[in-house]
Amino acid sequence: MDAFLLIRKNEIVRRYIVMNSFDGVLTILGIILAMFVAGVDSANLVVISCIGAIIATGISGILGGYQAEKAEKTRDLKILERHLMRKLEKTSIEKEYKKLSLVMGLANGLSSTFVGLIVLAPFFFALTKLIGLTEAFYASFALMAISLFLLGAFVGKIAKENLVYHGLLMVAAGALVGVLLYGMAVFGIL
Amino acid sequence: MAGKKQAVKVLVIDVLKPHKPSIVEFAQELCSEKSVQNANIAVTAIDEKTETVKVTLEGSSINFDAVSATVEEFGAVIHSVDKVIVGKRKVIEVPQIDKKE
Repeated sequence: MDAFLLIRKNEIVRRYIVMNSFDGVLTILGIILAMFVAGVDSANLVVISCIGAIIATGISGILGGYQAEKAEKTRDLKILERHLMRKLEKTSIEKEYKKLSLVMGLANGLSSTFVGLIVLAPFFFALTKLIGLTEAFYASFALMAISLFLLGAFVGKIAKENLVYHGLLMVAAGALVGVLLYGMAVFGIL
Repeated sequence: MAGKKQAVKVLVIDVLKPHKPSIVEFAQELCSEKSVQNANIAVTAIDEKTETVKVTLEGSSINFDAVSATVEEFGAVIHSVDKVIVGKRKVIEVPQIDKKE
């Protein structure tokens, strides 16, 4: 609840969430599309490759976001200390800053992990043989389009502009990756 | 020093605080100290990163040490104690009639 309030109040957290969710979806899109084009016939391979990427981007996001934010906040605190002519250790300001850095790091890392796992979900079903691999690919592409659209709509909501327009813009970005990769495969570059 | 100390009814302090958290939160924080009943905060000067505020606190027996600890924990500094009213009832200030300009 507390973290949710921070997200509503803090624009930097929102920015991190949008940026990294987008990163997360497109990373997984790249991997899954490449596997689709290459004609991979094992759900296991798709899941393992994607989980690897998800874990790596997640951890890099958490640590990177936390460190970057902590550095900025420490700098802010030092400037404030000079103005107030006192140390700010153990004050509510310092506590708030620490909490904020932690939330930033988590928002940064977990947002890409979260959407990554969502678009990967169909392959877990394929692993347990509930659906076929081809269906899993198509379901995953559909989930990507949906999550990109929702992400775009969220961006539109922040900007207080047309939700559908921004949503379609994000989907178009995803489609661009698809077209590029597919084109490269068709023209024999890959 | 004979007998029990008299209760502090009103306390006026001059405080230097960062812009954030705002004086709303500052006032609520001060009122959450149980010896303080009412608070009145006014900004008197604004700087780049800080602001100077005049804090008037009212209570039946204000605990000054607790108040200064609260201010300290908030990340602010008490610059001066400008006024205090102590005793059984609030003393009304008598206007100085013969005050020279």
